[in-house]
Amino acid sequence: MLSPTPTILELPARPASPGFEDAAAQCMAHWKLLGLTRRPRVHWFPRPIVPYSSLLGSIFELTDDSDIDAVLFAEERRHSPLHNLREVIGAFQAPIIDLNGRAGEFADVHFDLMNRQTWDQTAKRILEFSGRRAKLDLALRATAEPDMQLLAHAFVSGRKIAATRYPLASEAVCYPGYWTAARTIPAAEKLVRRGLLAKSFFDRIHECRQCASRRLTVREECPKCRSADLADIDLIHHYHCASLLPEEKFRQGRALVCPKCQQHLRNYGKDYDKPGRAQFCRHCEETTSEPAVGFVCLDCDASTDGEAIKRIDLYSYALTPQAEALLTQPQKPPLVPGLPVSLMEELQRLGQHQDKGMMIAELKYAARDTIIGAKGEAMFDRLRRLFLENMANYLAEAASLHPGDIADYVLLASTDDKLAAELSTLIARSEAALSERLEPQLRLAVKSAQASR
Amino acid sequence: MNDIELGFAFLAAMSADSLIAIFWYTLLFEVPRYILPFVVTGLTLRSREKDWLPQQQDPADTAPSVSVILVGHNEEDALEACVRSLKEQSFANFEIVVVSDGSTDRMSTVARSLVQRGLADRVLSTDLRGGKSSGINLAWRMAAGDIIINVDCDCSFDRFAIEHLVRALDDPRVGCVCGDVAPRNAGASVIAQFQEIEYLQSISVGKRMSNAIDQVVCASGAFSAFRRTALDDVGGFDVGGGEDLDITLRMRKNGWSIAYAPEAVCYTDVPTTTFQYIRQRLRWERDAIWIRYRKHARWLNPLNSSFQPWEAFHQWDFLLFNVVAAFAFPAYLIWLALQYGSFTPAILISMQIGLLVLDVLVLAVGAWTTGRKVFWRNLLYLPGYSIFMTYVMRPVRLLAYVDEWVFSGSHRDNYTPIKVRLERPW
Repeated sequence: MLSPTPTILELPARPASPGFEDAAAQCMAHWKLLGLTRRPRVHWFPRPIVPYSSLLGSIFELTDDSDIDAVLFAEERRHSPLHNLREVIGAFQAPIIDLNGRAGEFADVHFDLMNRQTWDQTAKRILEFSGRRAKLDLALRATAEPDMQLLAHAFVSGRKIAATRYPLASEAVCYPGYWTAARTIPAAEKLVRRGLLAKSFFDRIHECRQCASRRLTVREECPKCRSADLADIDLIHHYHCASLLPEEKFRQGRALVCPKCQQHLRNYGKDYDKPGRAQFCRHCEETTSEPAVGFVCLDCDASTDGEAIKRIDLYSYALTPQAEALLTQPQKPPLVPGLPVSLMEELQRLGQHQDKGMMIAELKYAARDTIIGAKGEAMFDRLRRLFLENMANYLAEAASLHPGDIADYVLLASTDDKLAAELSTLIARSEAALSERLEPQLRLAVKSAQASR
Repeated sequence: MNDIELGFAFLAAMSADSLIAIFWYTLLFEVPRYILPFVVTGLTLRSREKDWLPQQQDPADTAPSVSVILVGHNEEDALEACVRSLKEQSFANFEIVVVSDGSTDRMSTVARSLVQRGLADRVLSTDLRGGKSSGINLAWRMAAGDIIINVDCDCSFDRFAIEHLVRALDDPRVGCVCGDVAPRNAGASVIAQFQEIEYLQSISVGKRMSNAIDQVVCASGAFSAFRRTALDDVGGFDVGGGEDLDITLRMRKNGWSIAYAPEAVCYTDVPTTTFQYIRQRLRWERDAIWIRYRKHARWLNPLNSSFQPWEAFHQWDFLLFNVVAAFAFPAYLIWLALQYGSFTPAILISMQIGLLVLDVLVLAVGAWTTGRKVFWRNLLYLPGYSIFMTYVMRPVRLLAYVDEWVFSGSHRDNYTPIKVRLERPW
C-alpha cells in the first residue's frame, strides 16, 4: 500500500543544471501560450523527492491547500501495486501527473521536462480537469457521498470507468484512474441502479468461495481424488481377443504383447488400433476419459470443484446523459441521498406544473438478502427488473417508475384512493409471474393539493 | 365334405399309434424339450411372495464392492434413464462406470454430465468404435468392484434387481449370475407383444428350469453380474457377437457355476417391427452356431481332452432341438404332403390347435410361476404367436444356420466393427 507522507526527503539538494532551467522556462512559456497562465498548484505524492522537487519548483507550486490543480506522482518504490493509487492519493477532481513514467494508465498524464510532447499533454489535462471541475456544482465538488464522489470524478476526469485485468490485486481487476475494484464496483452498481451510470460487460471470472480471491489456477483433476497429477495414456484395442487396455499393459520392452492372449501386436490397423486416450491419476491410480475441472486459489490454497466455483461478472461503466445533465445543469433538482435522480426530477416537474396532489409508493424487497445469498445478486437484479417491467405494464400512463438503490419508487400523479388500493393488487400480480418471490413491502406517501401527510 | 373336413374325419378315425406316427415332429421336438419341462418347472419353482422382498439386513453392510458398467455406442437418448433407474435401486453401494464406445452422438457429453451431477462415477470414452466386448473389457478392468454388473444402456430395473443379483453371488462357486429380462415396450406392437410371451417362456420360466439342473448357458448381456476373479480366470470377454453366450460357456468350462436370479428383473426395449425382430434373431442364431460349433466345437468330441459331459449335454441339446429341429421341419412338411396329400392342411391345423392348447397351458403356468399379470393380456395374441413361431421363426432359424454354416454369415454382421470381424478367429 502507498501511504502519503508530508515530509521532504532530507537529501542534499543539487543545483539544477542550466539545461533544466532553460527547459523549465520554455515549458512555462509554452504553457502560457496554451492558456495555463500560472504555475499549477500541486501536492506531491507520496512526498517531494529530490532532485524533482527542486527541479520542478519553478514550474509547479507546492501548496498545502486542498484546492489544487494536480498531484505530482513520483514513486520511488518501483514495484508496488498501483491499482489503489487514486484511493490513497484521495485528491479527486485533480489529475495525477506521473513523473517517473511508470504509472501508465493509473495516472492521468505523464510529464517529463526533457520531453516537449509531454508539456502539451500535461497542460491539456490540467486545463481539462479544471474546466470540467468549474462546471460542477460546489456541493458535488465537496460531496462526502462515495457514489457521488465517483460520479463527479468520472465527469471531471472525462475517463470511462473501464475495467482492466490486474493480477497484482486479489480482485484480479482494477479501474485505472479510480479507486480499487472493491470500492469502485459497489458504488458504481448503486449509480447504475439510479440510472446515472450505464454498464457494459467486461469479463466473467471465478472467485474463491473461501477468501474471495480471483487469483485462481484452473486445471484438469482426477474426478475421484482431485489430484492434478494426471498422465495421458493411449488405449490399445487388440482386435483378436477384444482386449482394450492402456498401452503400458501391452508394453514389453519395445514390443507390444497382449496381456490376455499373449499375441504380439505387430500391425497397426490390422492387429490393433488406438481408439482413444484416457487420463491416469498417478495419485489414486484411477483412469478416466473425462477429467474434472477444478480451481485452486493462489491466495488461500483452497480447492474448488469446477461446478461449485463462484462466477462473477465484471463490467465497465460510463456516465449516462442523465448523469451528465445532473452534473452540469444549473437548475438541478435537490439530491436526496438514496432517492433516484429521475424521481427528484419528476417531483420537481410535477411541482411546477401540477397543482393536484401526488402519491409516492416505496417498494422494498424483504426477500432481497435471501435471494442474493442463495442465487446471487445477478438473479435478484433480474427478478427485480422483471417485476418492475410487470408493474410498468399494469400501471401504463397512470404512474412513473423510478428504480433506486435499496428501494424502487412509483410516482402516481393522483391521490385517488381507489388507485392506491389497487396498487397492492398490482404488486401481487406483478410478483406472481416471477420464479422467486421478492416479497415487496409497500410504503405510501401522499401529498394532497393543500397539505401533505 | 371338403378336403379339410375329410382330413379331420381321417384324423378322428386314427388309432393312438397312428397319431404318434403322424405328429412325430411335435412329439419329438416340442413336447419333451419345451412343453413338459416348462410345465413341471413352472409348477415346482414358483416365486413366493417373500422371495421378492430383500433381506432385512442392510445390504450395504455386508455386500462386496460392486461396479455397474454400461457400455454403449450412440446411446445418448437412453443413457440417463438407465442410470436414473440404477440410482433408484434398494442397494445403492455401487459405482457406475460408463463407456462410450466410439460414439458419434452426445453420449460422452451426457455421461460426463451424469458424473458432474453425481449420478455416475466414471466415464471412459474412445474415439473409435471397437465393439461391445472391448468396451466391457475396458470397463471392468478400470472398475473398482469385486463384482461387475454388465447392463445394456436401454434397460431399466426392478427396485430390488441388483440386490437379488448380488445375493446370488454369495456362493463362492458362482462366477456369474444373470437376471430375468422382460420387454418394457410389449404394448408397442404385435411383434413386441409376441416377445413378451417368448421372454416369459424362454427366460422367466426357461432359465428357472436350466438353473435347477445347472444348465444356464447364457448370462444375458442385458443384465448379468460377474465375479471379478471369474472374469480374470477367463481373461474377460472375447470378440463378439454372442459375447454373452461365449463368456458364460467359457466360465462353465473353467468350473464356475452360473446362476439365475429370477427376482432380479430387468426391463428392456425389444424390436417393434418384424424386420428388426428377424434381423436380431438371425444375428443371435448365427452367433450361437459359430460360438458353439466353430469356436467350441471340440467340446462335442468325447475324445478331446477338453470334453466334459455336462458341457457336451447342452451342446447336443442345442444341436438336436434347435438345429436339427429347424432342418427337420421342412422335411416333415414335405413328408406330410407326400404321405397324406390333401389331408396335410387338416393335419397342420390340428397340430397348430394342439400347440395352441399347449401354449395356453405354458402361458398360464408362466404367469402363475412368475406372479406377473401376463396371462389375460397375452391370451388373445397366442394364436398369432403360435403360428408366427412355427411358420416364420422356424424358417428364419433355418436360414441363419445355413447362412452361418455355409457362408459364415456372422462375419458380415455389423454388430461388431469390420476391423474386428475380419480379424475374428474361428
